[in-house]
Amino acid sequence: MFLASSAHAEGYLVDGDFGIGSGLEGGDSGTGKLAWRRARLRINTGIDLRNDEDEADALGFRAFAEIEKRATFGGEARYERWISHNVGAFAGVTGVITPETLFGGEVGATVVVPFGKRVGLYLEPTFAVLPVGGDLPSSGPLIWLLFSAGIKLGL
Amino acid sequence: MTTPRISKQDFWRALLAVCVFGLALLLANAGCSSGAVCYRNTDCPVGDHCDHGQCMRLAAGSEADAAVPSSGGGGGETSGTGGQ
Repeated sequence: MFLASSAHAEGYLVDGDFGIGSGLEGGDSGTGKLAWRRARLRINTGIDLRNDEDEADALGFRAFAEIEKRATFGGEARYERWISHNVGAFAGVTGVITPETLFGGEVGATVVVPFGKRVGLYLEPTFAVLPVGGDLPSSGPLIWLLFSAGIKLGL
Repeated sequence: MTTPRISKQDFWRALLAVCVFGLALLLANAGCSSGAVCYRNTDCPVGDHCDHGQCMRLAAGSEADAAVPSSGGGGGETSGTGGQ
């Protein structure tokens, strides 16, 4: 068991990203029917941590701010599985922290279009269901179908 | 007769293009219900809450029956249903 200290030799590859996103937001306004509208514009930033001995698996952390209407701030934590160097899928938890709370799960995919050795454009469709939180006026969940794009950097 | 083949990379590019186009179409045509309807409490101004798609302001005493429609923010309507 003490041989586990050799794990110090392992390192993490860190990618950073910054982008904007929007999409569709579905919710129940209290009528019992799901209705859709454009989701608030958001800016997001975060990092991906990949084990340098198994680059297919990664953990991603994001922070985002919705910048329309009343601004909100939230975050995500996700497990990512990279199918190839530029295509990955992920699943995790997401939520708004303030000024009201909203929490749920998400799945999505990431496609990176490389622009150089360490820079790329990322495109990211995401599907999220958020059933819990004080931001919900009814018992129905909020649904996000989001599309984000931005710059991804190898740090 | 030979069947035309596309490379794996072209396939992914085409799939991505279709997804982007579909999303753009969706946003252009079906993106928004009326901006007067709220789905989240944060659609409404500070001090209001969303009730049956309408932003409602709680009157003094914060009784549910005293909720009155708000005139501002995402709800934006002046006719509400909440508790009236």
